[in-house]
This record gives sequence, C-alpha cells and structure tokens, in this order.
Amino acid sequence: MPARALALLLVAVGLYAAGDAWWHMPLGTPGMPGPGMLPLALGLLVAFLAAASLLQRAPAPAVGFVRRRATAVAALLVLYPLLLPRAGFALTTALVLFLLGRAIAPVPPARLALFALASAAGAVILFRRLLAVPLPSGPWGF
Amino acid sequence: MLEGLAQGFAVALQWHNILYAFAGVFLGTVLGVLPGIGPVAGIALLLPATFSLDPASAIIMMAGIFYGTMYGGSTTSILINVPGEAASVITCIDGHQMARQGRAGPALGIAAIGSFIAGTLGVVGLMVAAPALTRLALRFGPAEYFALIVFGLVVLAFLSSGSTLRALAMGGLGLLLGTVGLEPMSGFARYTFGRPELFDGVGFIPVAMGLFGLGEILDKAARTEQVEIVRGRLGRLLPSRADWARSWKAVLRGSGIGFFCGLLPGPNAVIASIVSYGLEKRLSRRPEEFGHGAIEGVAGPESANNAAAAGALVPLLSLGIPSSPPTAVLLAGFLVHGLTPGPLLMQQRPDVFWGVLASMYLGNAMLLVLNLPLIGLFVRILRVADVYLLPLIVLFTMVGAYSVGNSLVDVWVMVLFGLFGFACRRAGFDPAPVVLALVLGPMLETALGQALILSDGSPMIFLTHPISAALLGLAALLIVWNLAGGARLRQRLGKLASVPEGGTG
Repeated sequence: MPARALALLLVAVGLYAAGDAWWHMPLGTPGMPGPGMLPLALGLLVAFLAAASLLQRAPAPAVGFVRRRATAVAALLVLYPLLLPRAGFALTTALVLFLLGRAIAPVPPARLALFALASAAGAVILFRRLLAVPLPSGPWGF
Repeated sequence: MLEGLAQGFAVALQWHNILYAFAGVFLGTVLGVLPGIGPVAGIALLLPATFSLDPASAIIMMAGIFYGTMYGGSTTSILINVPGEAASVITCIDGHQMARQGRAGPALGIAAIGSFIAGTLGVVGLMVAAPALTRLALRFGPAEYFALIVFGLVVLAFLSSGSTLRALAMGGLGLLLGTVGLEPMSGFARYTFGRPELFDGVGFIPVAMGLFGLGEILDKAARTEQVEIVRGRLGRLLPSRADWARSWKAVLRGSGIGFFCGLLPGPNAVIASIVSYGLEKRLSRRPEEFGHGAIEGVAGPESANNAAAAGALVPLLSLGIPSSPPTAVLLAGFLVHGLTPGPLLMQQRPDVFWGVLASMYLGNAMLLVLNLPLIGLFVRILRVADVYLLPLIVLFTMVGAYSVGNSLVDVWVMVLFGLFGFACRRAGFDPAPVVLALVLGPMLETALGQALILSDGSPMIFLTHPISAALLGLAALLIVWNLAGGARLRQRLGKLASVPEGGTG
C-alpha cells in the first residue's frame, strides 16, 4: 500500500511538472532548447515510470513498525522549524529534545529534562558562541 | 607525479591539515559506527562545519569523513549484526559469527588492518589512475558528458535495491528537482512559486541530510526491534599467525576488486564487498566455514569497500562527475568551497588535488592507529541509548541545515525530504538515485543544451561520437537486459544492498 501511494504521488508530481512546463515555460526548438524542454521531458518520464511501477507487484509492507511513535517523531521534526523563529534556538531545542526523548522511550521525565537542558545549553555555547552561527533568538533573547 | 605528490605532502603535512584529516577520519569512524548513518549522511551532516575552512583543508576533512565511515561500518556489523553503512552488510555474515564465538577482537582487528592496507593501495591506484583519466577527460565534449551522466544514472538504478523502474523514477525525480530555480541560459524561473529563496535551486545538502539523516532517524525511531550487542571481552585485537595466513591474500584480492569496482557508477562499495566475499568463498579450501565465522569473509569484503572508496574518487577528481551518492555529496562540498573537480582541477588547484591524495595516506595510517585502541570507545558509543542519541542527531541536522545559508528555508527543505525519505524506506523506493541525480541534473542539462546547439538540434550527435554512442548503447543494453530477465542478478545484489543507506556505497 505505501508503495502504491508513493508511486501515485510521483505520477502526480511528474504530471504537474510536465503541465507547468508545457503551459508556462518556453520550450524552444531542438537546436536551441528553451527552459521548459527538459522539465517537460523529465516530468513525463517520472509520471510514466511511476505509473509503470504500479503494474509491478508491490514490495511486502515493512514489519516491526510503531505508527504512533513514527507520527510523534515526524510531528516534532515539523515543530522544530515552526517554533525556531518564534521561541528562539535555546528554548526550541530544549523542548523538542525533551519531547523527542519522551516519544522514543519511557525514560523518567526528570532525567530527560536534564538531558534536554544540558544539550540545549551545550549547543548554544558550541554553535552560537564558538562557531558564531547566527541562530534565531526568541523574545527573551536566547 | 612524484613532484605532485611532494607538493601534496607539503600541503597535507601542515599542522592544521593534519588536524583536519584527523578530525575527518575520527568523526567519520564515529558516524560509521552508528547504524544507519553512512558516508552520505556523515559528509552532509558535517559539511557545514567546514564552511569556515580554506578549500584544501575542507576537502581533506570531508575525504577523511568519507573513508572513515567505511572503517567504522564494520564495528556494528561484527558486534551487533547491523551494518553501520551499506558496504558493511556482508561483514555481518562471518564477522558477527566470529564475535559470537568470542573472536570479536580478531574480527575487528583484521577489518581495521585490511582496511588500512586496502585504503593505502587504493590511494596508490587513485594517484596513478586519476591523472591518466584526466588527460582522457580533456577530450570529452558535451555529448560525451551527457552520455556519461545518463550511463551513470542507469547503472545506479539497475543496481539499486528494489525495483529498477522505481529507482529510475526516483532518478527522474532527482533530475526534475535539479531544474528548480533560475535556468542558467535564460534566467527563466522554474518551479519557484515566486519564492526568491528557490531561485538558486533546491539545496543539495538539505536534501541529502533529509533523505539520509532525518529519514533514517525516523525509520530507526519507528522500528520495534532491539539490537543485542555482543557483551564480554573483545579478546586480543591482533589476529594470530594462523588468522594472517588465511587473510593476507583475501586482503590483497579485496583491494584490487574494490578499487576497480569503485571506478564504476552505482553503489560500488557494496558491490565490491559482495564480489570479494563470493570470490573468497569460491577460492577457499574450507568454503563450508563461510557463514560460520571464516576470517577471510571479513578480511576480503572490508578491504574491498575501503579500496572502493579510493576508486570512487577517480571519476570525481578526473571527470568531475560523481559516480555514487557519497561522492555526489563530496562534489557538493567542492562546489560550496568554490572548487570544480574535473580535468582542470589538477592544473588550476594542484594544492587541493595532490593535497587530498597525500592526506589520504596519512588518514589511512591515522585510522589504523585510531581504530585498534579506540574500539572499546566505539563499542561504548554503540551502547548509548537511542533515546539520547537520536535527539542529539536531530539537533545536529537542524543546526547543520540552518547554517548552510543561515536560512529556515533549508531547514524546511530538509524536514520535508526527511519525511519523504522515511516514506521511501517504508515503500521500498531507494532514495539514493534522487541525491545523485539532483547533483547531476544541472550538469546534464548544460551538456544536453550545448550538444544540441553544436549539432543544430540533431540528436545524432550522441550516436556519431564513439564514446557517447558506446555509453548510451551500454545504458540501453542494461535496460533491455533488465526487462529481459537480468533482474535476477540485480535483485540478488539489491537484497544484499537494501540496508540503512540502501545502495549508497
């Protein structure tokens, strides 16, 4: 099932890319290819290959998979860039690291909080102070 | 050549370059030890750390990470039966059996020593082959470059894990992603949705970090199985006289096989280790011991995958074309530092070309000195629980992606491709072709455009140039062969390669 869903997604992406190239990009001539020629060809190729793969037998679904844990980790990965410009690097890092730990394994919250705070503090010193990466600061200045 | 090498050692022996080579091989080994984090994710994760370095030092460090991961990958294969990276899959078979029999020490020792010998011999091969191929590459025109890129992508798809059709579709997707941004000739904006951040295209580094870093973390976090680390003493690390007698020929054969496989496009290190294992089993007087702890089954493949790492640098340094995903990330590293690998690199930046080669001799020696005494430390790293390790890797990937352009757009691109990479793993689509095709896409478009302009739009240019015609003919043959039943061989290779960094070699 996931193989079919992904193949259909690739068909859609390919058709969209080909359609956009056909309608909105100059195609040029064979002697002077325009910016739309290669995207058109590639879009059609991706759609065709993905559609052809739908005719193949789908691989067996992966076993040993905890959907709830995967969803939680995925949501936290999205939360990080959402929160980063609003709450700042230190707070976002501490919060997301704590929640990631909670999502991955049942560890005592106090130990996890200590790990998250220490990691965030270490990251601020390493990346912001020593390596001078201009990471976003939150409303509280850290 | 000797003059060039002397110049290279003058660069590599500068104290700061020794330090960066050491940092590269050490970090590479640590990343190789971590299951799932192979050379692609390793170089991509650490690339931002090289931004402030001068180009020669940065490439020396990145090359160190590349071959360092090959060393580290064997540790997990032997101790927990999980390959640290794809090319160490085959080491699990006999390496883990040796560990279960209380011979983890000699298994780790022969892997490190074999890797050192093969890595050093591989650099000698690289030193001879790269300048020779560079002279040939100077005769390459756009038609030949176009054909070479198409050939490389078809071979990669053919040898990828899973279905060739899916791998080709993923390669097409990578090429399509490479068209995002301003078209170089006309400046026309393609698929940018009016966002200026996309005018320069989709960042290769965030895509690679997402597909291979975050994608793997998600997969690891979602898995239920627990791995069992072989406990107890490792035993003596140095192989016994009897072990040596059984292994030295395997090491030499693995070095040769690895180097030549490394020259080929695709997951070359994976193939090298598989071919080496098959050959050792066939040549052995005790083939029945293979699968039950035969030391040749560790010595040969581990030597082969390290020699392949050196071989894989030949097409990159001489033609400017990466033949596998790890070398594609290395190419991105060259470009970030304003260097263009290829036939002109040796003439224009001999300090970088020869400096990297010379540093690889030092790096391989450092790895041997580093690996034997530090194996205990690497085992302890393996025992750090995922609950702490995975969040820390997430933190490094987030900061790494952000620091590429000090922009949140790169972080979003990485997260998006992390989710996509996870979906690919679950659905049986190999993400490796996306990464290679994304790097090769702009080169392919430029070569195609120039060739068609030269020929007044006639596609016959690709068939009238002998090298181009031969490469395209070979690519077509591979596709026909696959459709006609060659799938069986590919599936056998693919099944063996379908591990954490499926087919990344």
